[in-house]
Amino acid sequence: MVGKLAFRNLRRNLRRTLLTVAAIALGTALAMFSIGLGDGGHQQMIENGVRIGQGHLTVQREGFLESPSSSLYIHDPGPFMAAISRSPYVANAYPRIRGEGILATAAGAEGVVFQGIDPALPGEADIFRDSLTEGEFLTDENNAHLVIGAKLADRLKLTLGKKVVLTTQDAAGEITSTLVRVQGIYRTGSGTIDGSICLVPIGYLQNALGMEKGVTSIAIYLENPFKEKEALADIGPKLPPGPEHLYQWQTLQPDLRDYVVIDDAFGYMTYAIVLLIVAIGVLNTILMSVMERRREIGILTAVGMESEDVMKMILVETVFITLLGIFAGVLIGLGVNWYFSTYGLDLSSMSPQEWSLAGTVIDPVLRSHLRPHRALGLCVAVFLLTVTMGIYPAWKASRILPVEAMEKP
Amino acid sequence: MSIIRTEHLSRYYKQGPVQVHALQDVNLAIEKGDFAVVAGPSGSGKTTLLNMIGALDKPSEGRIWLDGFEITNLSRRQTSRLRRDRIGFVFQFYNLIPVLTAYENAEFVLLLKGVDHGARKEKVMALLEKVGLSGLEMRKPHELSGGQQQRVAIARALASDPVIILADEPTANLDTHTEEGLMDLMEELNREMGTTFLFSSHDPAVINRAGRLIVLRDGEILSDERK
Repeated sequence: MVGKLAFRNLRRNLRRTLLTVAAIALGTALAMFSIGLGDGGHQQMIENGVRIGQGHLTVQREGFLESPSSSLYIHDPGPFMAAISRSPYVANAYPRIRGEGILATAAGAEGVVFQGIDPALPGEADIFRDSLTEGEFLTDENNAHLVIGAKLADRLKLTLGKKVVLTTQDAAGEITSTLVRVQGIYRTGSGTIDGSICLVPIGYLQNALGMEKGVTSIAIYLENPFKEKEALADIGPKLPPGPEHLYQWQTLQPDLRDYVVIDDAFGYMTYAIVLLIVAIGVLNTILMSVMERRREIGILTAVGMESEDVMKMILVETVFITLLGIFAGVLIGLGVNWYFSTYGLDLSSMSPQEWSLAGTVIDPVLRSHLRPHRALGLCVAVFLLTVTMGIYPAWKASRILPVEAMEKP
Repeated sequence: MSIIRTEHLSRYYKQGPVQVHALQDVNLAIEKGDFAVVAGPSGSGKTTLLNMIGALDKPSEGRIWLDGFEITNLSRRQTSRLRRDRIGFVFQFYNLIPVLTAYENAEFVLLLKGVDHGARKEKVMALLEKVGLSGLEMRKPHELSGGQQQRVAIARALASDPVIILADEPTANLDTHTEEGLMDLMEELNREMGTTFLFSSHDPAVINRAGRLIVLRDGEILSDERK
């Protein structure tokens, strides 16, 4: 009976009901689109970040994170690669040598992060390969060639074919220098990356630094980045015992991690404000409809309807409106997210160059990525917030005294 | 035993600094089967008296009994249940629920009482036929005339088999012909079903039909006569 009354009351002023439903729907859709675009943007940043960095997960020696010395290296990466390859979560794993050094030419010297890679491995360092603007990428894992960023090349006045000295610490902890030739120049668009990272064949570095077959890290890339925890739990126990640990990207790239967390927090604040505004609108509408029906509510209580049932009736009206609004909002939100997931939101006209932030490159074409649990969480939040707003008008309705409500109109 | 009994019943309202005595020391007993009218000019306390008896309002002083049970200081929930189970109301402005049909309005109290579907249907159809509304069950109030709406209100009032029906100026908004038809109906219900009626009215056409006339002035009973 309460449900029947509630449903018919909503139909009675259909325009107001539909406007309220539309407000909830638009608020939900807007929040859903923001979440999808935000999460998609973060995902792109993280993917670029781990491609530039050390993968979703990284195996390296304890202490290397705090002090990336070449003396802290994995002596025999073979058993580790075998264990990693057995995990169903892994797409690729790349043995690497990573360290800090100085590149010097006649024009000057710059501090760099060098990365020894095996160019023959499929997908290895593809973000740099795809960003090559001059010359060729590394082809032989043993030759003394170098690929550097455009900003670094500018600062050191380097062109293709020029020689440069790389000075760093070797496996024994001694300072060593080696001569390499510029084979390629890349430009990712990130000033930080283009001005600091250079790539060298891993075999050449193993020789130059006295590591034999050793590496400083193994970069692991996952099939599904959202299965990071599962991959961690699966791979960790399989690794050979020793001073090597398995690290998540969040540990190795704290700037990126912190940016995502802070951006998420600001996102939540924005969604909360939008939804609060919508909810206040719903409160106003429901309260208005209760005040307009004072007399009628007085009649209901006069003939014996209890206050609790009056309150339930108003709450049921609020729930109906909320569910309809959420349903419509989800449909709109899913549609908008699908569109921007497929075609992206092209913001390249807003900036003549690529963006970088927190050590990674931001793709100017943002693609939405809405995960089910985020959409569900939003729906629950909208539902709880909006229905909560219905409590006051429902309580007010339950307090209407029939004798006051039924005074002559 | 009286259906309704009041003892030193008084009701005061504050209007700014002034205290208004709507009812003063009313002692009244309504017997089963009475067809009584409370008459008096505007402001005499008629509606206030019916509100007290119908547990729509609480007295400032005094006590009230309904069918031997004191109802003076019941809780909100208790008064709701009392009105649902024991009292029927017919209001001046019909006061039907606009989103419900005639059938659903008459059925409403039975739904509140939890009566099952079959029993509800049987009772409501019989009541609507009794009040002369067969065939109009599915109409909403705005599709009915004033007299028809008031008949639905009477059916609703009768649905819970109340000990008394309180009718606050039930014919005030009706034309003479409709008013007569309605009064005929209520007299017939009083006669055949033994339903106790207590009206408030200043309409001579209603007053003339009263089996008992209680006259109020300035919140006090001026006279109380059986015809």
